[in-house]
Amino acid sequence: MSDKNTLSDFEEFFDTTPMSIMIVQDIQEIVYCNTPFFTSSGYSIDELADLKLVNLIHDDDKSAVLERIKALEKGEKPDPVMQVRFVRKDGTVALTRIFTYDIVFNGKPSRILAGVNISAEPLIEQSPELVDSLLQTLTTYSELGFWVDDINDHTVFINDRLCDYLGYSFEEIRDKPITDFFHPDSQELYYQVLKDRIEKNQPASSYELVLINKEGRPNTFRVTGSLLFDTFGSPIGSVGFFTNIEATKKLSLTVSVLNKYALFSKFKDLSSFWENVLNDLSDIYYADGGIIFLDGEVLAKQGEFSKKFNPQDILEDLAKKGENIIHCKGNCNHISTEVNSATISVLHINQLPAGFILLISKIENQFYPEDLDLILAFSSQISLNYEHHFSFLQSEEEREFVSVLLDILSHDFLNANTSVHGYLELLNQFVETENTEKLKSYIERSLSVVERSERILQTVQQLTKIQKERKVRKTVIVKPVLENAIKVQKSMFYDKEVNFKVACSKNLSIIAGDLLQNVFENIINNGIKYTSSKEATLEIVCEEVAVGEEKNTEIRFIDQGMGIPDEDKPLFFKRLSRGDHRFQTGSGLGLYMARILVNSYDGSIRFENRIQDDHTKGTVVVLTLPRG
Amino acid sequence: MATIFIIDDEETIQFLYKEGLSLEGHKIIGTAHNGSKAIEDINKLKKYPDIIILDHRMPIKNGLDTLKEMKEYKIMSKSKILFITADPTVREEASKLGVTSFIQKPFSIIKLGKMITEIAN
Repeated sequence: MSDKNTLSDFEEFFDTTPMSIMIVQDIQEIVYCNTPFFTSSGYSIDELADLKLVNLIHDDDKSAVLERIKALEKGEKPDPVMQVRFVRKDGTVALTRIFTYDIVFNGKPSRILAGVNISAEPLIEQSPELVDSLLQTLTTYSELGFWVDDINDHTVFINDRLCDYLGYSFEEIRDKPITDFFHPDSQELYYQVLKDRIEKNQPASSYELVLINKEGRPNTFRVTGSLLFDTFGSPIGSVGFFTNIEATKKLSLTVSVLNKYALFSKFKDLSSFWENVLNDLSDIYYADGGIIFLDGEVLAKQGEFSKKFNPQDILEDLAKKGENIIHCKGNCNHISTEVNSATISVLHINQLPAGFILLISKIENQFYPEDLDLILAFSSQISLNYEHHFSFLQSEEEREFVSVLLDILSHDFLNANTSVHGYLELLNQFVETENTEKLKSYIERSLSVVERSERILQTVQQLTKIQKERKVRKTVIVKPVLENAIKVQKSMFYDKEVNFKVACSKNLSIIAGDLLQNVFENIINNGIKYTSSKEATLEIVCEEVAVGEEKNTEIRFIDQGMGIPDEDKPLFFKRLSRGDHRFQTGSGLGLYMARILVNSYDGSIRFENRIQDDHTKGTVVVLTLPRG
Repeated sequence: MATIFIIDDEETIQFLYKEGLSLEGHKIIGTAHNGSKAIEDINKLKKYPDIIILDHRMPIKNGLDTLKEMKEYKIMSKSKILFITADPTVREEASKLGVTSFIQKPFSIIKLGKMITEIAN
């Protein structure tokens, strides 16, 4: 405000505003009040002339105002907004929010105070019809629900829109605690919000609440709520504006769950993958449980319900009808007697129905039509993600396979060719010298290289066979396979005396494939080959082990050979990193192939020292495979 | 005549070098199955070899890694390196590390002997 203006320039405006306006000088000398102030306070101009600002303040707020006055006297700048109780001439109190501004009035520094009565009493004290009419006007065009409750949580008012959402009439809700209509999780949240309002002085806040409608179906609302105060500034209730966000929340959560499970490779343990998917879906759609059935197996089950159906029959029925989702409500006895609504959405693999997601609820109308669309979209997308994951794994395996083959061709065969080519050149040089010893040596070495090439070719054939057959898995009794592998390997080392000590129970079974014998042979072959003495002892011990819920079988191949330094142990299972002393006569692929096969059976392979901390006393190859 | 040190993990190839290169009068003064052992042995020699034949693909330490270590020991300022591999993609890196010649497999042992004579002269 400029000092060139006079009060008369503003007086008309001040008198038409609903705010009470007062100008004070010398900290608390009242020099001007507008008409709304006189009307509201009940004082006359003459009466006010004898009063100072602090005389109008409620006793309980006086100390705060005096503090503020002290600060102003020291030249400090306190918060321009304050909340105080003004006492009217008749002794009644008005809780007022005051906005203060520095001005120059009549050539003197002054402060203008603009006050708004923020007591909720005027609203609460009105007839419900008037309040209803006011609030309906406020909320009709915004689709907002509106709920007022008193300090004891009893409903004072609820508008028609919120009544419609909930399926109750106002009379059914009136005087009942608002929390009676909350989901248990929301009750806890709501009490926390109320506590924070008082303790942390946060009169207004925004939060999400889940209300349960008359049918028992949950609905999520975004609520902006505020405390209501009486004229003394004490809370007398609260008010909340409710926006139904159920549909958008489900959409957003469904998309976020899809994102969460988009990269299957992030889930090291695929066994719990579908359990997690089902848990998340049940949470989003407030289902009491369900199952996920895929590739002939129930991969996840949640909730207690007596199953009255065969999943395979349901899948066949869906496929026959060409339906992607079915929904039942009320009469879901064919699923379970405890179920009153259910959705079954199909999971497609390679564009064929391969399974389904079943969600169930005890509530008859649990699933909205838009829920069904979302659940169907979720099923389609998660099927695609699942399918892509396995396509990716397969292409990775094939890429590795091709890379190994190319490596064998480009390295092992080129090496062999270089050697044979060289020895033939030497033979050509010496053929007329009659140095038979040299000629014989070149021929023998050439033959040795050619034989090695043949072994490499056999390995390539084995690799191709692995690539084709390794996915075939079944329950295999270990002992006969082990005995066959021992028999074959014994015949290969006719110049060595090999003693086998086998401790493996007759009926021990594992989950593996037809190439298990190949794995055993590769391990046994290494164990014997790298025992330098003419007599080799190989001990084979089978035992069942369990880590948590995982039940496995460990087969330990214990040799007394030259051993492997610890730093080199991991290199043996890689194609491109060979340990130096074990590669000279072989293709270098034996343990690499064993690793590829064991991994494809969901097992693992590793080395240990036979004598701890002394690698030179022999090696233990530990093979771990799922128990049959 | 050149003195030669052979670094190759395959005994059959080592023997081929010995036999083939001796036809040109070259003398094999040492062999090693991997880079680490080779550097240890070369540093013990009274006189550095004229030529070091270095295979790329070897266990424990490959040819490129061996070259890097040789550089640290300044072996390349005293001996010429023939880098041998079936993989043409490592040629550039090997050249940057200072190899004298890059030989790609398969090669003729007779021609290699003659090439070493030229390099040594």
